Amino acid sequence: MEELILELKTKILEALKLQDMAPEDIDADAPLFKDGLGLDSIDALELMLLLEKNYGIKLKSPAEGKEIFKSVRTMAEYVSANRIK
Amino acid sequence: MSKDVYILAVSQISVQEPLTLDWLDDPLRPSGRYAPCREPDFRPFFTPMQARRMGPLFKRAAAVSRKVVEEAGTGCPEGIFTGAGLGCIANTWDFLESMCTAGEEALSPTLFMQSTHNTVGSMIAMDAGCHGYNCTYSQDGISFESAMLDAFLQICGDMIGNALAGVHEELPERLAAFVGKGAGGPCEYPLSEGSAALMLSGSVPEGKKAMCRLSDVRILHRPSNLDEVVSAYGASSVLGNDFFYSLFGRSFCSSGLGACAAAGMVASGRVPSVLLVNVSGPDAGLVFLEKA
Repeated sequence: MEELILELKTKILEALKLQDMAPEDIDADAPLFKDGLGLDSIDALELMLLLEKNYGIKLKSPAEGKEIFKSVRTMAEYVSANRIK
Repeated sequence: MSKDVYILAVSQISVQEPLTLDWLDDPLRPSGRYAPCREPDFRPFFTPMQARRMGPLFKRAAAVSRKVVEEAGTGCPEGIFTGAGLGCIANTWDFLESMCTAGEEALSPTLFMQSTHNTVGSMIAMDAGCHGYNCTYSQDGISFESAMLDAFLQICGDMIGNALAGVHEELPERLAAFVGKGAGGPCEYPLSEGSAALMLSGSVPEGKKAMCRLSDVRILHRPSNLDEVVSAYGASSVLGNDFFYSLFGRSFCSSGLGACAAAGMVASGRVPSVLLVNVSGPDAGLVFLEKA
């Protein structure tokens, strides 16, 4: 799981162009939106795209992502359980 | 058109030293096939979170715009007039490419949002907090003069008191061979890119000094008597495409960058007046600057 968390952190930084941050700057359990990393609704769409491109996971709507994108750890757990590639 | 219009401040990012006109005494002469911008340090302008969704074009445009608004001392601009011949060409290219490779699925929303010509003008408005007039002109090499003409007429007609005008072009090296040819001009000058912003105003704020007077802006379509028109201005200096291209390379923003340089030349007393003559395809754009 820790390996997948690191992989996701790297892909998030790349997809969201967080150029001045490193994977270790992201707390795996901190909220990705609002108070945590401060991501917004456009980022949610980018994260959906990240799951689809890299893991073959296609979310039906952004609302579905609300629980999945709570933190990097929740993302990793969902990816681990649902990935098809 | 009896109302005076002034240029209060200019700023540029180009092949020359960025965000200053200090290089006017000893400018670089770009050469080769491609001459990219010299990027300033953008960290004083944007936080990492602000900068992350901004491509180079937005960063440059926002930086030069913020700088002229601050230097002019007019507060939030009443109108934003943007020239963009190619728009956000890098994002447009990447978006179209991803449509091909991803089969029109799984497309990045950021690329989609930021791939239109008027995205730059909108971003500048959001950054400046300007809810006023906002228009983008995409007239190839005459985009800058089109934006300036609109701003000039609106200030002359007392529709607005001041205007943020500019022209912004990006040309990543990977696209230069494909899309740069449209920039026109002789091949002896490199293809290039850049951002120019000018703060125009119908009055000079107290305690400030105008760089120069913007005495006229004209666009002529297929002029048969351009030489006559030019000489009728009686300008002490007439600067044309070779002037723009030799300083900034070939791009749709070369004449806008040239206008920044010319405003600096008038402001520093090098010349009392300059007529900028930008011939682009069938059109000629004229911008006349005089000592304030």
